[in-house]
Amino acid sequence: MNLNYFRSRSFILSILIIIATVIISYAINSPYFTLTILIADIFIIMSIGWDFSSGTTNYINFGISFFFGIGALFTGFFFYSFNLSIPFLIIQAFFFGFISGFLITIATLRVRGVFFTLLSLLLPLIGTDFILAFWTVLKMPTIGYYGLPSLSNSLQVSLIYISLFLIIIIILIYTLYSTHIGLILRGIGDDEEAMLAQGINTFWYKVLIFSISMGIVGIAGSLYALSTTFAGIDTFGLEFLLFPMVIAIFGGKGKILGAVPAGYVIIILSQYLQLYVGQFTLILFAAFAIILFLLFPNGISRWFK
Amino acid sequence: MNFFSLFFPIIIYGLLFGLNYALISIGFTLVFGVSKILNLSYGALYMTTAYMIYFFAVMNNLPLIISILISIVITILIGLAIFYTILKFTVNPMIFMVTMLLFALLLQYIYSYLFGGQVGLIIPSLFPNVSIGLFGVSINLSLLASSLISLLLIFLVSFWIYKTSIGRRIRATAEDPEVSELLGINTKQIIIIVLSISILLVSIASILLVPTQEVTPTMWVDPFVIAFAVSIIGGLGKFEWAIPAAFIVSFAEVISQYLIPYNVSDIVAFIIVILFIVVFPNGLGGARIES
Repeated sequence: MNLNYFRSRSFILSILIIIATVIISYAINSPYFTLTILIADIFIIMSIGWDFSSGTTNYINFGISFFFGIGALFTGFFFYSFNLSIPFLIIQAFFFGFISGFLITIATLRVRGVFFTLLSLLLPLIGTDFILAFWTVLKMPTIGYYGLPSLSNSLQVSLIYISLFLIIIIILIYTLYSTHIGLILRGIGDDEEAMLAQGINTFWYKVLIFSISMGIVGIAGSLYALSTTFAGIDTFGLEFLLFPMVIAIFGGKGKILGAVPAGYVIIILSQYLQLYVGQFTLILFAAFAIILFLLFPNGISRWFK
Repeated sequence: MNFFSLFFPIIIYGLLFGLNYALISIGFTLVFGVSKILNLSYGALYMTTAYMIYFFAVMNNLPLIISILISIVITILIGLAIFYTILKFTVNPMIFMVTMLLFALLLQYIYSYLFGGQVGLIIPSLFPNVSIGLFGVSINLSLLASSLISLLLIFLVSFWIYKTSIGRRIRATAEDPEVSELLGINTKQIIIIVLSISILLVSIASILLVPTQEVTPTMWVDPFVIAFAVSIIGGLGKFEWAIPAAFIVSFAEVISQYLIPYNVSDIVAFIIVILFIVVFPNGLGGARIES
């Protein structure tokens, strides 16, 4: 394990930014701002999860909102069916995100490039149709679970919990990134054929990394459900694909920690824009994403160097 | 319920939906054949025609035929604009695809903002909303007419592809663009023609099918999934195999509707696609499904 990663400026700066957002939110004492930071933290967790697998390997996964939905809906299902406590609800979200990620990547990694991406895009669509077909079997009160427990009665305490989760996930991912697994991952992204020529079985590394990533996205789904006390079919929505992906690209694809400042900038901007222009925010956001992908497909971080 | 009481409904609805699915999908697979690009904004163009008809025929009370013609022209222009805007900046297939999808989302948000996203809108149909009986099965006249028009269009497109000079050039471009260019074929022009025809086909599909549904900002997903499923099953770019593939999807959906108590017909297309990729990865037409 290379400990230099933990001494890097980007790592220390990212942790400091997360702590700073909590302090600022206490200082401002505005519920809307606290909620904005909380949502930003959840999207950053998703972005980091996505970037860790897709950003580094260049296997672009459009199915991220499927795993987010799995995390959210399983949280609702296990709370309604077994009355599990919050820590177990979060653990099961990681477990089911990991297992579904494992099974799906084994099937879909047979294809590469655009076809892998297309297949992954079908996942959230399947998830939506599945819930619509079986919501009565899943014991949903309506098409979703209402009245889920909240992380805390105080929004600011919830923010502290979620910020802690974000820091723990960053440390875990950075730990993995600094081992030989991280090295192989970057190798797959640079030249997979060369990795195969060296006798490295890239398939199982990809399966492992995608499973862990999707487990993390599952945690983000669970935290979202516990923050909003609702887990509905909308968690499979393409917005939950668009925002994390744009945050990851904006922060620099494969940079992992670029998502931290990018996430705060994008979510704070979009939440406050929503106050003034309402639904038009989504149009601006999609247009911004198009410009970003066309002009800066590898992110903007290199432009600041 | 026994087998014979289900036989005619399954056969009739399987055939009718299969023809409509083929109409939706052939444009998608044709474009991939000549350009090797998956048009992910395809479903959004289907939606665009529907919203344009609503805007002109319902909101501005223009005659339906005029509204349809204007809507088709606008849809083709939007489709070409999306394609060439992206092409101006990138030729990377991954970026191309992601941006096409983002354009589909952009159109979804624009229509949701302009027309409202909560309530489904209704657009007028070219055909009266009556049902007729066929072998004891009640069929909506709109569905029957759209299927017959789809059949006619499939024949026309097949004739155009296989029996005309431009069709020969399209097949040559699909087979080997570099050699075609060496032989004097203007492949860029061929791509514009095929793209325009594919958008025209999806616009006609929208005109025929949307009046039996509702116009919503997320309606683009269903035609996209059908086109994608049919193209994967038939083999990407294999136009002739899109037709049997469309019938596989339609019959699987109709059978599941009659035999499975839950509404899983929408999931069936996905399951068939995944099965094909795992078991039969090159599709019916033998196209390579690896990049």
